Amino acid sequence: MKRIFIIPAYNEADILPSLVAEIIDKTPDYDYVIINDGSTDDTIEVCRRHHFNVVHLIANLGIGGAVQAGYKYALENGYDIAIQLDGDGQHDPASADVLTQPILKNEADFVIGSRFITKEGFQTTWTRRIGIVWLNTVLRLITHQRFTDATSGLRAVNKTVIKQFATSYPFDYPEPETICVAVRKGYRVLEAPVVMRERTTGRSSIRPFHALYYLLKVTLAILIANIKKV
Amino acid sequence: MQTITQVFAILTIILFNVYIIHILRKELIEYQYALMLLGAGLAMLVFAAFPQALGAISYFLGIGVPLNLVYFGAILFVLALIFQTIVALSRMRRSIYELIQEVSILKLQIQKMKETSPQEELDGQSSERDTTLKGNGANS
Repeated sequence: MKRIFIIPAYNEADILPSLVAEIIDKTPDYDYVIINDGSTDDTIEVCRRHHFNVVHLIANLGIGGAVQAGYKYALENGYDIAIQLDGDGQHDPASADVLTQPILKNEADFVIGSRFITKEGFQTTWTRRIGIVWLNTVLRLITHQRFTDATSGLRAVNKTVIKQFATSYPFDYPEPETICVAVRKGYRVLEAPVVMRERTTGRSSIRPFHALYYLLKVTLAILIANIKKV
Repeated sequence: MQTITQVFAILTIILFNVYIIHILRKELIEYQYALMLLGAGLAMLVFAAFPQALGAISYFLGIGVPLNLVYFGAILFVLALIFQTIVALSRMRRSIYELIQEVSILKLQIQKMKETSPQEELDGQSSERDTTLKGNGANS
């Protein structure tokens, strides 16, 4: 079983070396690929100096385009399992085993790491939790399945889903939408408990100013995903 | 309508149509968009030549002032154009994203090939050799 971490990174030069070291240390039997999403800091130099395995996108595509590049890479290189891991250090590579277990046991095709099952670790701000609860509810109404952390970017998928995401992936704010698409495609989507950390550098792609637009866009995307041809 | 106004309108519209054909000839515009503009140009030409037609249609549709029909038609046309533009733009964005992803992945693969193949010694671009790349095919 070839397994790979897909690490989208935008201006995360400070954190990448320690993140990669953590991966090599904690999960030696996993490969990784960093997707440098047209960073404007010295990410390229840092990656070159450390000989990281990294796809430098020649222009900034945003989180959806970057993650999809990772899935394309995983597909082309014949990986069986891909684990999405944010490049900002919020996600612990050690979560990989919990996430891949259901896939290895053939109980799931797509496993989402949820920080709200055991409620340990960084639980994010209350304003964000309101948004997450809203999206969980929308997803639950649409998919008839319970999700506790719809926006989580820590997730593992098997080969079928790698192929699907390599072909089609939303551009911006993709996480909740992909859950809906996956359920509609008939994939088995599960959640597994993970512990997240507070980001130490960089900033979230969801800024307060955009919060309302974010919620509107994602809600509409989920509703449309439910009626579109998949 | 005064004859001078009518002549002015017809000339302007002909100029518009000629310009569309001109940029078509120079391949500055796709046929799918040119057709829409030419269609609008033709309709305008007909109404400029036979203003009575506009009055008749307005009367038929129950629109009191024929000018309102012109505005209504114009707004519909502009909306259709905007719609067409947005669709084209979205499709283009998708293609560009695809292109950027594929090219960027290819660049990594070429770089890796250069590092493993002795051939690259010949092309003089071997100054930066990364031999310790982790991440690809290192395990099962």
